[in-house]
Amino acid sequence: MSQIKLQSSDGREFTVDAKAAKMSETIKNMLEDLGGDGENAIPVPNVTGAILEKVIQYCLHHKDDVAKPEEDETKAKKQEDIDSWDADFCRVDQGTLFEMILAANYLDIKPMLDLTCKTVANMIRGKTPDEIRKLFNIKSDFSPEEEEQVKKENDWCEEK
Amino acid sequence: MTTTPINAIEVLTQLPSDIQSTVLSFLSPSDLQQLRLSSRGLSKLVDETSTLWVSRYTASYGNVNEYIAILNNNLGFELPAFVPQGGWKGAFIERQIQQQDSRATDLVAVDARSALTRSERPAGSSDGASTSAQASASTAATAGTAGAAGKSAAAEDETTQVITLHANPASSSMLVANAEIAQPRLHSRCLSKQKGFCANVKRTPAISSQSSTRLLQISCACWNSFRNMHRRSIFSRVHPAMRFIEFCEEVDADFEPVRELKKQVLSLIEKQTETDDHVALIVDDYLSEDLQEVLTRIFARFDRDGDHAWNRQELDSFVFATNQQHVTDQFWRAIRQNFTCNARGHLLQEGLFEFYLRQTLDDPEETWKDMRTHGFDSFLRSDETARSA
Repeated sequence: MSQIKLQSSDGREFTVDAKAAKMSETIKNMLEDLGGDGENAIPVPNVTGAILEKVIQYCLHHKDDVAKPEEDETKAKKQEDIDSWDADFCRVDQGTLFEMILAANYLDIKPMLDLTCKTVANMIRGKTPDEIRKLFNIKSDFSPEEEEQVKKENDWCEEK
Repeated sequence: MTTTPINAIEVLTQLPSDIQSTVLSFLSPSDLQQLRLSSRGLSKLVDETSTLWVSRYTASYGNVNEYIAILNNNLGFELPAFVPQGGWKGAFIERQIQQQDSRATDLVAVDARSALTRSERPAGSSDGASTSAQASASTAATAGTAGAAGKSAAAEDETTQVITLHANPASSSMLVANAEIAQPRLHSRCLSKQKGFCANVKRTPAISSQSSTRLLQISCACWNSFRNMHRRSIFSRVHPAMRFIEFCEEVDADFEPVRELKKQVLSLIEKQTETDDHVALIVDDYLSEDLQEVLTRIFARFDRDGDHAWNRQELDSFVFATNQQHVTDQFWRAIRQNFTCNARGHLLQEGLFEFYLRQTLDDPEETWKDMRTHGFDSFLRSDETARSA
């Protein structure tokens, strides 16, 4: 079985390389449980066609990646190591990006979840509160006292 | 591509908390603070994502609970899991401030001090008294004598306790269990405890029986970690035994028993890494010495008449013991044609070697299966040897 079919929440069907699809732990488990014959499409009820297309794109590109050793928990996660394909892949509007995060989470594709989360973090990194508000299109809802309080707790963030 | 406008904040704050934690874990403390300052919702998000603070704390100051688990599982301690009183975020911030205050001071001494004093003093109070306490604790930790303690009346309590910590390993473990568990960073605290016991063994042989017991326990823990590890995960870079060694080394790298232990552990690890979790079957394109030895034993075992060759009956009993099949005429012919036999056409040990060389090159798993059937484990030790080892 080298190809399997996936069906998105809005009824679109995708034929995917099985190895790529199995990057998703969720799909891998479903295949094992159903003993899929490749004939019936596997439903992916939480993901729309547009997002599933992105997910498949990711999996096809990364299906032959060598499994990385588990991250050393005691080391801070690396921040800057997004390669150019991945960076391009994440160059989407915020709404899509968040949907991609949810899809990666639901489908349990750890490297994609890390990538998309890292992308969100990179959007926030190095910005002032004003810039962050602009980024997310929000207004400050602090009362002056509250803001003062939050500022007071500033000490700890000074990096050594 | 969907371009429905969304409220990113709503989405971000409604993501499952482990995802939020993942996102936030990629941010530095100062970025987090900027995020907190940008809105009420985001401030709440940063403050309330508890898993973020657990991993933050763990990344910066070591996984306290991992050490507790090591101590409990291997050295017979019964320490409860560490949960900081003020929550993980509070503990993390406290540590940050504390470190900034005391950057110049000897870290172990600071930890000893903070461990023993912070329950009475507000964190981060860098007044004169506590500075001198630091200094004297540091001196005491190095000198480890009651004389040093006497010099600083202001810090008498702390220093005395530090001395206790260093003077009596038995009570120091109690101290770890009782007083210090309430404090973060058990790691270095345990280290200072170990330092005590190491220093003790060196200085005063008379009171070293407790310390020796601890050392013995550590040694046993090391060896056990080898025995219990049948199949080491290729991902775990640090061998469990090395954790104990590192643990002791951080305290006193020159302590001879520990250095000796490390040497032994390293050589064992090397041996184990070479062979991973089993010995080699093939070395330099021929049967490994281990396999040759085993095959020699098997050959002798089935050579009932002791003529150093297997006749058909002997081969048959070996084959039947191996896979419950009897030797057919065809098989017997094939053996005699392809492998070294004596003048009477009986299979020699050399021929058995050739057979296993061919099979092992073809399918090593088949050979392992045969070895297991004949009672040899993945180190080609027979069951009896493995049991008595």
